[in-house]
Amino acid sequence: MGNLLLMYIPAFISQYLLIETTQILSQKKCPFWLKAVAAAVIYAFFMLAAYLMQVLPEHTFYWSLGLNISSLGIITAVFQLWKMDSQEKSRFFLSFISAYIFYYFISTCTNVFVLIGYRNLVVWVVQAANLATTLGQLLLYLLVCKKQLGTTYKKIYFNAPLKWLLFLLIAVNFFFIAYLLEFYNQGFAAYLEQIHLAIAGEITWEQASVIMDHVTRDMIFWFMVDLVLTITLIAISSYLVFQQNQMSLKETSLLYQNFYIQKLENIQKEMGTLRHDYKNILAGLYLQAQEGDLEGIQQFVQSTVTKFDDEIGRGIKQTTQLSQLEPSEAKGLMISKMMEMEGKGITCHLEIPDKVSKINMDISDYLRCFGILIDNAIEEAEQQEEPADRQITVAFIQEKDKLVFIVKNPAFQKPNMQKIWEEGYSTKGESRGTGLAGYKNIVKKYANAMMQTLWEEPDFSQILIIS
Amino acid sequence: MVPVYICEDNLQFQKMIKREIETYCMLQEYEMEVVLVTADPQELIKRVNLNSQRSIYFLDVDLQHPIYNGFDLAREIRKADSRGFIIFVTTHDELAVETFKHRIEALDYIVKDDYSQLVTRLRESIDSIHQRLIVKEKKDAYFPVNILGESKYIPVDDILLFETSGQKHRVLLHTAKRTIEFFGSLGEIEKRVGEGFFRVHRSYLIPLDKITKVDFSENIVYLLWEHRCDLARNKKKELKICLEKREKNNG
Repeated sequence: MGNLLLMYIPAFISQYLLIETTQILSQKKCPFWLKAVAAAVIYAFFMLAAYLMQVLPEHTFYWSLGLNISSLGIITAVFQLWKMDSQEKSRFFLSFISAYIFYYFISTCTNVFVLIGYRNLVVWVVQAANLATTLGQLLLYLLVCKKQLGTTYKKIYFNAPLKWLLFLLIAVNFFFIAYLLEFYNQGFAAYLEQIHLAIAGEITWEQASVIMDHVTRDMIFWFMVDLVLTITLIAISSYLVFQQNQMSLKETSLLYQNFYIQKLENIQKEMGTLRHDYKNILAGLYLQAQEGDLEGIQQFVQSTVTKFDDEIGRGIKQTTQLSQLEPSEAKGLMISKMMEMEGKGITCHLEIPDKVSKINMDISDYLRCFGILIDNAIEEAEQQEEPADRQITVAFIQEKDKLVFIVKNPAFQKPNMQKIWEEGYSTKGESRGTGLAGYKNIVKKYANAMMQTLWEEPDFSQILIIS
Repeated sequence: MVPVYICEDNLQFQKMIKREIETYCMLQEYEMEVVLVTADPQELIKRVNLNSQRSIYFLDVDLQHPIYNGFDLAREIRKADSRGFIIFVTTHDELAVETFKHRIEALDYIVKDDYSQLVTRLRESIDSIHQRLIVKEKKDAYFPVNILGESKYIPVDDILLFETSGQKHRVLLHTAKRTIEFFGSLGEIEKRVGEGFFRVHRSYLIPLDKITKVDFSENIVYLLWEHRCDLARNKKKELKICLEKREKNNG
């Protein structure tokens, strides 16, 4: 009985840990009992596959491949794959398969010891191997928890070439695992045969051990091949992630520079025209003053000076405000959105009164949130007939313990404040408006993020507070 | 008389704002009176601390003062007079309107670069304050909401609907013009708001006086401002009784 418990409990726990690791990597939610049941079912499949390997050893490759696929199926069902969007799906697959590969690595490592144990006829080595697998799995699990690998995985998922590289890694390993298992099975058979022959006295122990050594070498060799291959692929992919990060940093600063230069050029042009005109302007003013046309002078000053001040003032303001926004991804997003607005004839008021150094959300998540809110505002502002009404205000207000993000656009008609959140609803007709529902879904994942909407005639504001 | 305070460091504007307000209030027969015109924010704070009345403040954003700018001043004022009306008067290039509005809940801001606009805007904001003063909350009840550590007070009379927002412990509060999300549970809110509210569904809590129509066959409750929510089957009877009771009381 004790023996059995030692056999099965660690194996079951390692299955459970496999699911748990997958969950953390993919950042999905799942109740505890469901995970436990899934672990039990996978374990049952595992036993079935092991049995089939014993009975029909010539098909080991297929049994093992079948086992891989059925575990994948069970875990997919547990995490409700059909409810995920495509991005979540791919992240989930990646997470599961890498957790699976880790698991197999650990168990193959320990299996090599099993073989050595058989050779020395030590029976408890099987239990020890199981236990070691579980401990390894536990170690991996703790590592994943500690290092917050989940967020790194998300990053990987926004990088298309890397994604395919990882899929390659996964495919190679999936088949390798199956192949290795077959190999081990044959290895086991060869071992047992040699041992039986030696016991029966048909060959000497020396002869048997020479053959067994040979088999062991082969197995260790193939194991090493797989290990080296995987490590190489992982190294390449982490290098690519690093490279990509550097690149995006450079891109943002380049974008910012371009934006800044363009603004400066505009200001220069504006100044140029004013300088060109100022003599004429002064002469005109002088005449008007001489005639005592005070109203005319007032009007003139109103129209030229304020306009001039407006145009130049805004250019300068926008660039200084932008420099307050430190996270380069957010800055990049803002610049590209501001350029888009400029192209569409929308005036953007940007307010960032204090330095914003950190946004307490996953980068990809806050980019999506800000993007959705700004895009909605742009769509709404575009609809305005009066060019003067095409205005959007974006504010990042850093308070002591939280960041308040506000997007405000004109909306002369009161939107239905309840319906805007429903999927597929939009003030602009059908087949739009999936945005806000997506935004809501992201925000509800974060306990430190709250949303608000506000309609103050004639403006509609979306507010996101992140503490 | 509702006291009006003006804090502006440009003497020209000081005089002008005072004159405008006084003539306009006289003309409209509004019960407002300019009690202090100053360039010194500390003087204003002293005076405000002595006065306990709900007041009106016109503040320049860029005060030439070593300690206080308009924003700090407004914060000080809020401490003494949390429900006063604050209006910012500012030049174009220091416009951080959204920020000010958000931080102080300023009523309005007026740009002083454009003289003709300045006068009309001053008048508009005085009108709007007057409107708010006469309406004067019918019911003086507020529902406090805590949003990530910050408290907001929503007039109970404005509330249209409480809704659980899909995730545990998150509640959406709807008014005609606002949606606010905060942590809480409907059960606990139900206890707090007490009578006048009814839990029509596991995920909805509504004020009875905002119901416009109930569709008992489709199980939908219609509220003011095109809001609507589901009605749970086991609550139908109870709701009918409640509505009848109300009708009797009203009629």
